[in-house]
Formats: sequence, C-alpha cells, structure tokens
Amino acid sequence: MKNKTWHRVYEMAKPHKKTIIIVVLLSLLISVGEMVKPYLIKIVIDDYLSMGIYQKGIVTIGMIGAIYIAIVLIGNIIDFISSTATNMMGEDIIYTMRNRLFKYTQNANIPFHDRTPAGKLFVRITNDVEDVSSLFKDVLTTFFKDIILITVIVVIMCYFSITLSMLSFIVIPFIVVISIVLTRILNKIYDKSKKIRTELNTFLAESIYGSKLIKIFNIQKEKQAECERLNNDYRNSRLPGGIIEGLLPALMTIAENVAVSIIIWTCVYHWFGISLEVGLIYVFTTYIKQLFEPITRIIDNIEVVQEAFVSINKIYDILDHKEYLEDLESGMILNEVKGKIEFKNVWFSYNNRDWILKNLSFTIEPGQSIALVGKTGCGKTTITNLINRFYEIQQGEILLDGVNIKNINKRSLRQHIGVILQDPFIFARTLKDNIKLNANISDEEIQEAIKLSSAEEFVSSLPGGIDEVAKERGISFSAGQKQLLAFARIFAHNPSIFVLDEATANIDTHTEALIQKSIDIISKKKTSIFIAHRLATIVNVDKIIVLDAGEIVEMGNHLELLKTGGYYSKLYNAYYASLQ
Amino acid sequence: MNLLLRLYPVPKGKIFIDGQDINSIPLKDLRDSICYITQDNFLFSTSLRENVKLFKDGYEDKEIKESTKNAMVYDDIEKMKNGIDTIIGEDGTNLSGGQKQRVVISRAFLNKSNILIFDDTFSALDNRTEQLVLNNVKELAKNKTCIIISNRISDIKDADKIIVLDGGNIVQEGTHNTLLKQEGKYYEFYKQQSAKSEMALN
Ligand SMILES: Nc1ncnc2c1ncn2[C@@H]1O[C@H](COP(=O)(O)OP(=O)(O)O)[C@@H](O)[C@H]1O
Ligand SMILES: [Mg+2]
Repeated sequence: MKNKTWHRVYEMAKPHKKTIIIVVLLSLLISVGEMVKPYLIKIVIDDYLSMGIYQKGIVTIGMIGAIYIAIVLIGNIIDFISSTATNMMGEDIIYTMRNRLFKYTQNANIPFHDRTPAGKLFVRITNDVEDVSSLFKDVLTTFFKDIILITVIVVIMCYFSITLSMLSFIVIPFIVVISIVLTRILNKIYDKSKKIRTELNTFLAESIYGSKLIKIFNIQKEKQAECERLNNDYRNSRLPGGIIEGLLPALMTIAENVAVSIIIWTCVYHWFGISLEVGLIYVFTTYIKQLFEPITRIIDNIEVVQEAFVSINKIYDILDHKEYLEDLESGMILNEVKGKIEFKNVWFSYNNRDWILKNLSFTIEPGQSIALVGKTGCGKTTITNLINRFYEIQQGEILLDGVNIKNINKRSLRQHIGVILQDPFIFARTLKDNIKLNANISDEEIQEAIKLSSAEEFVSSLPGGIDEVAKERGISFSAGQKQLLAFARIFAHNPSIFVLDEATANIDTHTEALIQKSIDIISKKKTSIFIAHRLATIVNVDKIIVLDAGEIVEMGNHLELLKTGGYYSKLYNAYYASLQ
Repeated sequence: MNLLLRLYPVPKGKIFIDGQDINSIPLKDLRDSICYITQDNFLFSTSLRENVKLFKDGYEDKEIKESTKNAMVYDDIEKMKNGIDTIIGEDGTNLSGGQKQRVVISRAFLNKSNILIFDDTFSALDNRTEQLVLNNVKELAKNKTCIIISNRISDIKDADKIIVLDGGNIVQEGTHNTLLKQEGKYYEFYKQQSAKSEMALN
C-alpha cells in the first residue's frame, strides 16, 4: 500500500527529475552555508573575543563579518531560486494531473458515469489535485534540504565531540516514535475527512443544481440540516489534525531543550571528562537548535505528506481503473455506411443480474425507418444505447452493414449515428458552437442546417442570432427550441443513422409541425429509429417493433399490426380513445 | 407557475390565492400549500424513498408505498433488489426516463398540499400508463385545485376549465366541450392531434 503510494509519487515526479536534482544541489549549497555560519562565530568567540584581539594574522573580525553577510545573501538568493523552481513544479503537476483526470472522465464509458456522481469527480479534479501539489511545492525542496542539513550537522557535531553528539542524540528515538505514530494517525484522519469532503461536495453540487425543486417543495430546512450535518462531520474529522498540529511544536521544543540541557549540564559538571569551553557550548547548542529546525519541519510536513498521499491514492483509484476507459482508437473505420442494422439474439443487462433485453432479434434495412413502441422501462432507450455501444452486450451480436459493431472503431461508429433525446443537451456556448460541436463544418453548412431544421425563425429572433451564447444547459430555451437546435445538429453532421428518442413528447403543436418536417426529410433518406409515445407520429414508418419487458411481442407496419388486433392495436386504441 | 410560487418577484395586487395577495402569504406557507411537479425529472442521488418523500419526516412506509402505486411506479420499484431503498447511481442503478418521471409524480400523491400543479409531467409515459396515472390524479384532485400544463389534449380534456395561451396571452377559456364549439385555437389544436390518429386509422 505504502509502496504503491511511493511509486505513484515517483511517477508524478519523474518528468521533473531535472528540477528536483537542481533543487537538491542548491540545497546542498545552502546547507554548507548554514554550517559555516556558527563555525565563523565560534572562531570569533574563541580565537578573537576571548583573547581580546581584533586581528589575527591578516584576518580581522570585520573580514569574518563580511564573509558571514555574503553567505547569508547568497543563501537567500539560492533559496529564492529553488523555491520558485519548486512552486513552478507544483503548478505543473496540478496542470498535468488535472488534464489527466479530465481526459479520463471524457474517455470513461457510460457505466463509469452511471456509478460515479459528478460531485465526486469535481473533488478529485479540483481539491485533491491541489492537495497533492503541496507535497511538491512545500515539502519536496525543504525535505531534501533538511535531510542534507541534518546529515551535515550530525557530521560536524561528531567532528567536534563524539561524546557530546551522542548525548544530544538521546532524544532522537523519542522523535522517531512521535513521527511513526503521527503518520499513522494522520493517514487515518485524512482518509476519513476526505471521504466526508467528497460526500459534502457531491451534496453541494446536487443541491445547487436542484435549487428550484428545493424551493418548490420547501425543503430548504431539511437541506440546510443535511448540509450542517455533513459540514460538521467534516469539521470534526479535521479537528484531531488541528490538535496534533498544536501539540507538535510543544513536543519538539521540549525535545530540543532537553538536548540543550544535557549538553550544558555535561559541560558544567565536567561529565565524561568534558571541560567547560564557552565556544564549544555555543557551537553545540546552536547546532542542536539548527538540527531541530529541519527535524521539526520534516515532522510538521508529515501532515502535508499524509494529506497528499491520501489524495494521490484517491486520484489513482480513478486513474488506475483502466477497465472503464473506452478504446476510441482501434477498430475498423467506416467511411461509408449504408445503414443496415441487425440485432441477433441480443441479451443485455446493466448490472449482470436483471435482464433488460432478452434474446432480441430484428433487422433494419438500409434507409428503412422503424419505430420502437412499448411501455416505459421496456428497453427502448437501452436499444439505442447499445447501437452506440455505450454498453457492452452479454450475449448475441449487433451488426452494422453486416459488421459486428465490436469490430468497428467507436468514434467512427458514433459519427455515423445521430441521436436526439427528449431533453437535448445545450452547452453554455454560442448556438453556432452548439450545432458545430467542434467538428469541421463551414458556416454555410451551418446556415443550411438551420434552414433545413426550420430553426431559422427561432435563431433570428434571438438578439445575437447564431452567435447568441446559450445559458448553462440551455435553460432559457424551451424544450421545443432545444429540439430545433438538436435537429440542426443532425443536419449539419449528416449521420447515416438517425435515432429520435421520445423527442416530440412535450412540444407545442407549432414546433411539432416544424419538427415533423425535419423528421420527414431525414427519414426519407436515412435509416431511422423512432421512439415515440404519441403513436400518431410513427404511423408512417416501415416497421413497428412492439416491445414488452425486453422482448419483441409484435413486429409489422401500422396497418398490419392494427389488423392482427394484438398488443399494438390495444395501445393504439387506448391512445385514440384518449383523444376523443 | 414560477410566479405563483414566487420563484420570481411578483408585483402586488396581481396574483391571489383564496382572495389573498400572494405577496402577503409567507413564502414557506405559500410553497407548502402548492405541490408543483416540474418537467425536469430531477432526482437526488440518494434512496428512492428520500426522493419520494423529499427528506421530510413523518411519512409512513404505507403512505409512500401507496403514492408510488398511484404513480404506477410501484411494480418497477419492487423489481429492484433493494426496492424503495435502492440508491440511485449506486451499483450502476439507473432509471429510464419514464420511471424517473413517475417517481417524481409520486411526490404529488404523498404531498398534502391543496393545490397541485403538473407541468408537462406525463410526456415520457406511454399512453396506457399515462391514462392510469391521470385517473389517479383525478381522484386525488377531487377536493383540491389542480393545474395541468400540457400540449396533449388527452391530458387535459376532463379539466373543469382549460386556458389556452398563445404568446403569453390567454386566447381561450372554458371546458373541453365549450372550447370545441368555439372553433378557435383549441379546436385547431384538437383537430391537428386527432387528425393524425384519424388518418392512421383509415
Ligand atoms: N443506466 C442504467 N443503469 C441501470 N439500469 C438502467 C439504466 N438505464 C435504464 N435502466 C433500466 O433498464 C430498463 C429499460 O430502460 P429504458 O431502456 O430506458 O426504457 P424505455 O423503454 O422507457 O426507454 C428499466 O427497467 C430501467 O430501470
Ligand atoms: Mg426511454
């Protein structure tokens, strides 16, 4: 588990090897400077001040002072360079990870999105990525610097007096225990708190999205209570972290002072044959102070590291699930599609438990138009999802122009299928972009598409015309207007197969007439599949497939089916009666 | 409808409920007295139970069951492994458009409000299911005020009063039969819808 995390950190850091090496080398320089500083002061105290002289040989105290200042200056400049470099690296890692995550969500299949709430993905792409970056921004540089510092200080201390050094290190085991315990606790805390954060964010996203419903049903109070509960859970989950953070400096100060006291006592009481030498005491206490600075920093950073580790694992929990990614590259590219669709003994279930389609077989000839009819939930939309290969079937095969769609490149397959849903999705972009959808389509073609789809009247009634920017999800447009745009999309992209899923359900008669015109144009030329509840809209299709609970109960054209007096004729008569 | 619920500001002296200006009714009471079912089938990613009772306590299992039965979605729910406690989105569970719509409609049957509004809420239902739900809605609306917004004659023809709007203005008002006699907009509308089915029958 830990190993995996380190491996992931390594993978993220790899592209930044150069920066890291430079930063480490720079830290080495800084550490040397840090080490020399107390040594210079020791020389001044022991060789100059205690002797009461200003100059020894050609070296004056002033010169030593100048060297000291130079070291400080250079140290600061180097520090500046290396922290700029790490900050940039941190931002770079945010950038890369965010792009990787977004790419994943775009390439992930529909089953992945079915089971992953959008709020969770938001948290991964925003908060978690940022939590990871602080590992690189705040910890990495100081970590190498600190490790080097600690090593150098230990070496120098040993050089001055092994005995005193060993005495000062008595507190080390204590510190090690603290860090191990801390790592464990913090990991648990952050794991839990991030789970709650995801929950909280999912809740927030959904509540904002559903704010109208919340108002209509007066459930603000309930929603507020839920928000407060989640928020409170989140706060409480972070509380232990805060306590530890508060406790830590105190513990470290105690450890440090214990070490210093040991040195002073040893010198004062001449233990272990150590004599009282002011300069030596000064050097040692300073080195101990200097030693504790990086140690404290490292222990402080355990928090950041654990927080980042938890986030890294959450991010990779998504990225590592390659099985949800769609292969959009391989497979046969279709240039020309005639539009013959065959279902051969297709069995399908969303959850591998409940069969939604049972042994379904039918054929749609090129250019034919068919309608799928049946009660809600009988599997009509599912069939269109399968033709697009949004889900994989468990048994049987689906063929397009005689080719199993499993062997067709997904991008190419979907390019040839145009679907219009009951509530078409509109992006918060211009109408032109909404019709174009990043494809390579000229302005003339778009104009033509708008004309064909009878959307001209609506588009020209907008102040910005085709360059009018739609509101998020197209909320300022009526269902009918969104449909017109969806049809313009179809005309502009000109797919070979056309699917209309309950598109005419809640539309006024005027718009419906416009849409019917589009439908007539399209269905004359293309293989078309209609799903409609208003049976009147589908009476002219070549073949009606009547489904019940995932099985075909009847198949034939309108008149044939009426004559047989089966399920369809009952449906139709009920529909007809409802109009009387 | 958005105005009736004061989702947008309403000028004084324009909209009244039981003779009272809606601006003088506390927002909470106003919205409590109206049950508005919108056309976007918005479901929270929680259990179906919460989605029907909308996080309010004090409903018994029996009442919830009854309301899903009335909305004709009970059988669909029973088929799911966890029934009414199925959590949407978990384990890849999702509903078809019509199922969502009926879950949303069940809210109306559970709600105790005296004013019911259905805003194009039957569009994803097949004709039979729709008629069954509508019958239950009629039953429910017996002692209540009920407003149905729809483009389908079949949804509205039994209403006490039908208001025909065009471009934001009321063009006609009356019952199905009186409106048909007037041969106005409503009649045209009716003819269009029945002509298609008529044509198909012959
Ligand atoms: N994404 C999904 N995940 C799991 N089950 C689904 C999903 N979409 C639909 N279902 C289920 O599959 C069945 C058929 O749904 P669908 O094809 O949408 O029906 P319709 O005929 O109304 O279009 C329903 O029982 C529904 O609950
Ligand atoms: Mg459907």
